[in-house]
Amino acid sequence: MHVLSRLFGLALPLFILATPTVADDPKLPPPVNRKIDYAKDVQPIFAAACYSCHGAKKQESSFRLDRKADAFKGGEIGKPIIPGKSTDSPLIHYVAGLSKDLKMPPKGDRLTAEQIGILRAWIDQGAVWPEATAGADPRKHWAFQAPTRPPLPSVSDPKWIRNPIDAFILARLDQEGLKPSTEADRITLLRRLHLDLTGLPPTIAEVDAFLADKSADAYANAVERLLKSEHYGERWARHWLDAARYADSDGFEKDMSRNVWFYRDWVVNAFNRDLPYDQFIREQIAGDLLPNARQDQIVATGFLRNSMLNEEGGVDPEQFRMDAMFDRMDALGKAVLGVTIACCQCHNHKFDPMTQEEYFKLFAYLNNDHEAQRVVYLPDEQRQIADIRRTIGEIEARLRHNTPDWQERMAKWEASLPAQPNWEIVRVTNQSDNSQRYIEQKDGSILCQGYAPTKFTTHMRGTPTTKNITGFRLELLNDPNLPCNGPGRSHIGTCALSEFTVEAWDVKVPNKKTNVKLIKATADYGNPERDLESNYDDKSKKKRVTGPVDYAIDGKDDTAWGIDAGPGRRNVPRNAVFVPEKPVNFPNGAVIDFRMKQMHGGWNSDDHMNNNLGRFRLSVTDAANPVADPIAANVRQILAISKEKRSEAQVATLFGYWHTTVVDWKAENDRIEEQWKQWPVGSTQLALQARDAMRDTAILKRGDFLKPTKSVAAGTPRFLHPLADPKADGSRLTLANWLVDRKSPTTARVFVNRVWQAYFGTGLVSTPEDFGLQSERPSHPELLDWLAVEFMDSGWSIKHLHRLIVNSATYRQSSNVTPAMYERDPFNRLLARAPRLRVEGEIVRDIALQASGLLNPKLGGPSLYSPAPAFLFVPPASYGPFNWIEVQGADRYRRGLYTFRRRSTPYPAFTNFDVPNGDSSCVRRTRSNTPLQALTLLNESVFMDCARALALRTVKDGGKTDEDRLTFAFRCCMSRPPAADELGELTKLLVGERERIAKGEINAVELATGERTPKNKLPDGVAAPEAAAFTIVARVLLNLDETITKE
Amino acid sequence: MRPSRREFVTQASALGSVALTWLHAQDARGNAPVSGLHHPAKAKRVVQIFCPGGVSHVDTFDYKPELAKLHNQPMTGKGKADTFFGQPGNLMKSPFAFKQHGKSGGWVSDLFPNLASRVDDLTFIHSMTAKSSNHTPAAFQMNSGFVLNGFPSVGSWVSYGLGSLNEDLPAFVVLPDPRGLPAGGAINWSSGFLPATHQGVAFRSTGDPIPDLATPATIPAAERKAGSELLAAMNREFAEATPGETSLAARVRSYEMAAKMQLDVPGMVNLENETAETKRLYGIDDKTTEGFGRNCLLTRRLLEKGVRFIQLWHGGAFGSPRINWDAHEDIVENHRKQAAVLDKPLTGLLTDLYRRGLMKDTLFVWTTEFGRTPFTQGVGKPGRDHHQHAFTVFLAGAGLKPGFAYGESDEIGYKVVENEVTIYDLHATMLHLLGIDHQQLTYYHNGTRRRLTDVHGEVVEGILA
Repeated sequence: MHVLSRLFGLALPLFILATPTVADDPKLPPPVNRKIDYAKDVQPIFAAACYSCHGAKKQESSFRLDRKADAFKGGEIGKPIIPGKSTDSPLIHYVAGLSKDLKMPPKGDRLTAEQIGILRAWIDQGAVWPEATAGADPRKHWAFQAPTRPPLPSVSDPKWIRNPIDAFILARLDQEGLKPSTEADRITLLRRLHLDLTGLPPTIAEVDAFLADKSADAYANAVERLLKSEHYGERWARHWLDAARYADSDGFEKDMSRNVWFYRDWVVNAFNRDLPYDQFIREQIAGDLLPNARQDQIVATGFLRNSMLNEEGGVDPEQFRMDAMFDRMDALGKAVLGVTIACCQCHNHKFDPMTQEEYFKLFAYLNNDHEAQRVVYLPDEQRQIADIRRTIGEIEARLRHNTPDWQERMAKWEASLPAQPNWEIVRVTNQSDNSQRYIEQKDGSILCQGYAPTKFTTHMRGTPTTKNITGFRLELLNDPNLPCNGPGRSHIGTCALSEFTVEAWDVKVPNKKTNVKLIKATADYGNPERDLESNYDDKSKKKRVTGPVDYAIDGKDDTAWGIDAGPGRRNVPRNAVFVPEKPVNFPNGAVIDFRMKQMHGGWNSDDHMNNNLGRFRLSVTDAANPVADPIAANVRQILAISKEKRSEAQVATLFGYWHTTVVDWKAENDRIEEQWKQWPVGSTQLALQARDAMRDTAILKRGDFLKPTKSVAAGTPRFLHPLADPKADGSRLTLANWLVDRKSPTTARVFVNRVWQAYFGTGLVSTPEDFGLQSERPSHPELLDWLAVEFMDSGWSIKHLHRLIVNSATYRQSSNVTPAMYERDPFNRLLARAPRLRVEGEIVRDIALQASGLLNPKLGGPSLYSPAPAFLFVPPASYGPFNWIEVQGADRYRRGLYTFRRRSTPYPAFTNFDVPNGDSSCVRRTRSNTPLQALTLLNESVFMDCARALALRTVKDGGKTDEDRLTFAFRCCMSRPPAADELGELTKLLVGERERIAKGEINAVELATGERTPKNKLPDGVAAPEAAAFTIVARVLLNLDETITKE
Repeated sequence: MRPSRREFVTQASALGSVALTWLHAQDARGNAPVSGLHHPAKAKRVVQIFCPGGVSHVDTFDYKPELAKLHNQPMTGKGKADTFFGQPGNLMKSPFAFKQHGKSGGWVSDLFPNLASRVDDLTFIHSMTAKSSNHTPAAFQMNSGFVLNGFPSVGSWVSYGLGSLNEDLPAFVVLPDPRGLPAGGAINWSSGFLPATHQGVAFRSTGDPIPDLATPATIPAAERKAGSELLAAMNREFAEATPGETSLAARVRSYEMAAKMQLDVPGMVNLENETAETKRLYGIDDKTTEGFGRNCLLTRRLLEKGVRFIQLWHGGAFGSPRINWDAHEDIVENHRKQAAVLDKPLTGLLTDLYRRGLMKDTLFVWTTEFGRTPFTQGVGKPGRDHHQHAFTVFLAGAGLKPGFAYGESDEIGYKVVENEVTIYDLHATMLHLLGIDHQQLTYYHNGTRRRLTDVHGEVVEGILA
C-alpha cells in the first residue's frame, strides 16, 4: 500500500482532533502580504509539490488538486480548502506539517514558509481560482502557448526607461515598492560591456578612449564596436558550445581525439555574422539537407554529432549509437525546446503532457542517418581546389577542342572494352575472435565497426555455388559510416592488406582442408611502394611497406597492398582479384575460408592507429584468367547507361577516365596528375549524412535498445505547435523547420532566456532547460514574452537582442548592494541592481592573458594542447599514453575557447572553475568556490607566466614612478585606477620586495623569469630587480577577486 | 523550481557550504555523536576500494564446488551464454584452492591468505549485478550509478550531502593506482552536475600530490607570504565593500583553505614518520606491494585527518602486461599477480583501522566492475570473460553484520538466484549507513531532482547489524 494512503487512512480521526480553530496559529508561517494570482503563484506550487500524487495520472486518497472542482470537493478526507480561512483549511495544516502523522508532501522537500504564506494568502483572499485554469489541462501551461507581444506597463518613473525592457523591470519594482539602483560608473560599465560581449576586459587605451568620448552616444558606440569585434563570436559561441556539449574527444575508455573544430569555428562565425537564430538552428539540425548545401552547412550538423562514442573492445555499436541518439534528443530538448524530453525515453513524462510515444516520434526524425566523418577544407584550401578543378577542366577542354573526333574515339574505346567476368558474391560469416564487429550489408558486403584492433586477421567463411573457381575478388567499398567515407577504417579512410589467403574444402569433407595457392594478383590501384606512415608505428622497428597488390600474396606480413592515391582521390572503391594456381573444384561444392591479414596498424588500438579494411565484399568466378576491373565503379555505372541517356556531367566523367588511357596524351595526363598532387589535405569533421532508407523507429521498453515494441512514424508532440505542413516528410529538415517555426511556444523564449541568464546570472525562468510544468514561473513573464516576440520580429537577430539588453537602464545599473537589499532579494531576481558575478572558467584565464599582454587574439583553428600539468596526460594520471604535447610559440596563449577538451582528462584549470565537460548538454553552469581555484590562480604555470609578463610590461610601459606603474598594472587587471589606500598597500609590498632584493635575499633573475638559468634575456631597459618586485605585485593583482568578477 | 533544502544551503550562499563544513568539523573534533543528514548515521566516513578490470567472483570469494564437477563441460540450461568478447568455452573450475576461514567460516580462495584472516570482519554480497559488461560504463555505474559520463560519483554525493570533516583537505580524495588510471579516467570521480567543490581530488603518489599545490620554486617563502597577506587583505576589503555578497566571503575563505592545504598536504603524504612495524603491516617494505601499500597507508592518514570519502584504486586500465584484473587470457597468471599486490596492503589497512578504533564509524567498501564468466573465454583457454550477471563485493565497518554473507549466485556463479543486489541498492545502503536517505538527497538538474540512485535502489536491510 502506498505510504500516503496508509497515512490518510490512519490519520483521519487524529487530524480532526488536531484541527485548530484559533484564528491565527503561531506555528503557521504568516500569509504573505500581497495580492495572490492563482496561475502565477499557487498553481506552480501545486504542480511541483502535489500533482505527482494528486494530479491527472494519480489520485491518492481519491483526491485531485489539478482541477478546480475536485480540489474544492476534496477526497477521502473532506474539503481541504476553506476559502477565506487559511488557518482552518486542512491543506495548510498538511503542508505546514502541523499534524504529526500527516505531512504533505510526504516525500521530498517541505514547502518553504514563503510558499505556505502564499497558499495562506490565496485562501484568505478567497481562494480565487479563475475558470480559465480550472481544468488545469497541462497543455494550457503558459510556456506551451505561443508568446504574444504584451503591452508596456505604466511605471512610476518614465524617465528611467531607456527601452521597453526597463518598463517591465520597473513595473515589477514598483509593485514591490523598490527603486532601481543608480547607473554604474563609466569604467565599470565599459568593463562589464567588454566582459559580457567579448569575454575580455578592455585595454587601458580602450578605457581612456571611452572616458574621453563625451558624446551622448559614446556608450552606444562602444556597444556597436564590441558587437563588431570577432571576439564577440568567441564569447557567445562558448555558451552555445556548452549546450552543444562540444568536446574534442570521444569519451569513454579510449577517449580518442576527434576532429570537430570546424564545427566550433562555424559557431563562432555564425555569431559574428549574426546568422539569424532560426537559420542557426536549421543548419545545425539539417544543414546537409538544404538545397545545394555548402560545406559550412554540412559542418553545422556536427551539433548532433557531439555525442560521446564508445569503441571499447566488445561493444555493440548499435547500443552506443542509441545512446548517442538519446543524447541528441536530450540536447535538442535542453538547447532548443526547453522541455525535459529525456524523461520520456523510458516512460510518459511525469509532469509535462508528453508521452513516450511522442518522444520516439520525435526521435524518428533523427534516426535516419549515417555517422559520417567528412573531409573538410578551409577557405584557402577550397580556393585551391577550385583552381585545380578549373585547371584540369581547361586541360580537358583543350584536349576535346584539339581532338574534334574525341567522341568517336571514346566510343571506339568503349566498344573495345572486354566483357567483365561473372562474379558470384559470396555471403560470408565471421570466424574471427578479434572483437571487431562485422555487420553484413544488403549487397553482401561486410561493414567493420566498433572496436578496431590494429594487428589481426579477418577470417570469413562462405559456401559459393560456383563450381570451378578460377578467381577470388576482394572489393573495398565506400561507406558513409567509415572515416572520410572509407573504404578503410584508418583515420583517413584507407587500409592496408598484408596478406590474403584462401583455404577450401569439400562441404562434406570438413576435415580435409586445402590451402589454395594464389599465384597472381591484380588490382585497379596500388600505391607505389612506400614506407608505412609514422602513425602506424608498431614499435617493432621493422621496415614495413605498402605497395602493389602482389604484396598481399607474397607471404610476407611486412608488405601490404596499399590503396592510398593521395588527397582528393584516396576515398574511392578499389578491387583486387586473386588467381589460384589450380581452379578450386569439389564434388559437393566448396567451403571457402578467406583470411585477410592486417598487420599494418600501429601498436596501440586505443589511438588512431588502425589500418583496417572498412567495408569489403568477396566474390568468386569461374571465368578464365580473371583480372581486376581497372575502371572505377562510378565510371562503370556510366558505361552501363545507354549513350543517349547520359548527362553532360556523366560524359565529362567518362571522358575524365578515358583520356588517362590514351597514350598520345601523356603530356596532358601528366599535367593533370601534377594538379592532383596539389590537392590539399584538409581536415575532417563529424557530420550527419542521411540514409537512403529510413530506419524503423520503435518505442523502446524502458528505453532499452534491446526491447523495441511498437513502431512509430516521425511526428511532433501534440502539446507543442503543429507542423506548418501536416504532410511534411519525416526528414531532419522537417524537424528543423518545426523547431524554429514562429508558432513554437518555447524556441524563442528559451533562447532569450539563456541570453538573459548569461548577463544577469539567472534567467527570467530560473530553469533554462525546463519550461514545463515543473519549472518556476518567470520572474517577469511579460518581459520574457516581449523579448521573445521582439527577437522573432527582428528576424531572429541575436545581435539585436544584445543591443536591447545592454542599452537598457536595467543593465546599466550599479551592482552595489546594501545588506538590507541583499536580504530582500538575495538572488537579484527583481533586478534592482546589476549582478556581480565571478566570470566563467575560460574567461578567468582569458582575463589573465589579456591583462598581462600575453594573449594571442587569433581566431579559430584546431584545438590546442594548452600548457597543463604534464603528469595529467601520462600514466598514471591518464588512461593510455595520451600525448598532450604542450603547444609552443604564439599558440601557447590563445583564448580558453581553443584549449583541447579531452573528456576523460578535463583541463584542470577549467574544471576547478565549473567549466562543463561536454558529456551532455549544459545550459546552466554552476558557480562554486573551492580552494583548488585559489591554487590554480596562484600557482598554475600559465597564471605564473601571466604574472611575470604583467610585471615586465609594467616596468617597460607603465610609466616612470611607482605610482604610475602600480596604477598601470592595476588598470590592466581591473580597468579602474587604484584608490589611495590600495595604492598605499601595493606600494608597501613593492618597496619591501625591492629592499629584500637589494639585500640579496631573493634571486631576482629567477623570480622575474621563472627559470634558474633563463633561456631568454629580459627585454632591454628592464632590470631584473624591478621585474622581480613587480612579479610579486602582479601575482597579487591577478589573484584579486575583483579581477575575475564582472561588476 | 524551488531548490531543495540541501541545494538551498549551497546555492543561497556559497558560504553556506563552507559554513556547513565547519559545523561538521566542529562535530568531528568535539566527538559529538555522528549525525546524519536524514537519520542517525552509523558511519561518518567511507573508504571505497576499487579493483578495475573485473575481479572473478568464482575465483575469490564465491566458492562454487559444482564448477569442479562440471569442469571442461559446456554450460547447459542457462540459455545462450552471454559473453562480452569472444566465443564461450567450457566451464572451468577455479584453479585456486578455497578454504573456510574464521569463526564465520567465510570462503576465501588462496589468492588472499592475509585477507582471509579478517573474514570475520567482512560482510560479503554474492548477488551483485551490473548494467554493463563494458569496462568504462561498468566503472561509471559502480561510481555514479549511471553507465554514461556526466553524473556525480558517490564520493561527490557524500561530499555534497555531508560536507567536509576538516578544514584543510578536500572532502573527497582519490588515490589512483600508481600504475595507471582506470578506464574513463577522472570521470570516475567527477562531480558531474554538482558544483566543482565536490569533485574528487586525485592525489599523486609521487611529486606534487595535487596539481598546483606548491608555490612555484622561484617564489621564495617570504614572497609567498607577503603576497598572500596583501591578497587576503584586499580581497577582504572587496568583500566588505559589498556587504551581503556571501559568494565573495566564500572566495576569501577558499584562499584560506588553499593556504592550509599548502601547509598540511605535503606533511600528510610524507609517510616517513610511520613506524617500521606499520610500514611492514602495509607491505611497504616489499617491492611488489610497496606502491599500493603506500596508498593504503595514506588512506588511513587521510581518514584520520577527516577526509570524508576516499576512493582507493587497485589497478589501472592501460598496460601490457595488464595492470588490472581483466583476466581474459589467463586467470591464474592475472589474478595471482594482482592479488599479490592487493592482499597484504589491504589487509594491513583494515587491521590498522580496526586497531586505531576508526572502524567504529568508518564504512569500508570493496568494489569491482563486474565478475567473470564461469566458463573460459574461447574453448580450451585459461582466461575468463567479463560477466555482469553475478559478482561479489564486500563491506566492513559500522552498522554492518560482520562475518556475514548475503545473497547467492547459482551453482556455477552464472546468475543471481537469491537476493539480487543492484548497484543502486549498494549505493542506497552506503548512503543509509551515512545517515542519508537516498531518495531525499537530490540536486535539481536538467528538469529533474537528480539522485545518486536515479529512480531505483532499496537499502539492503539484510546486511545491516
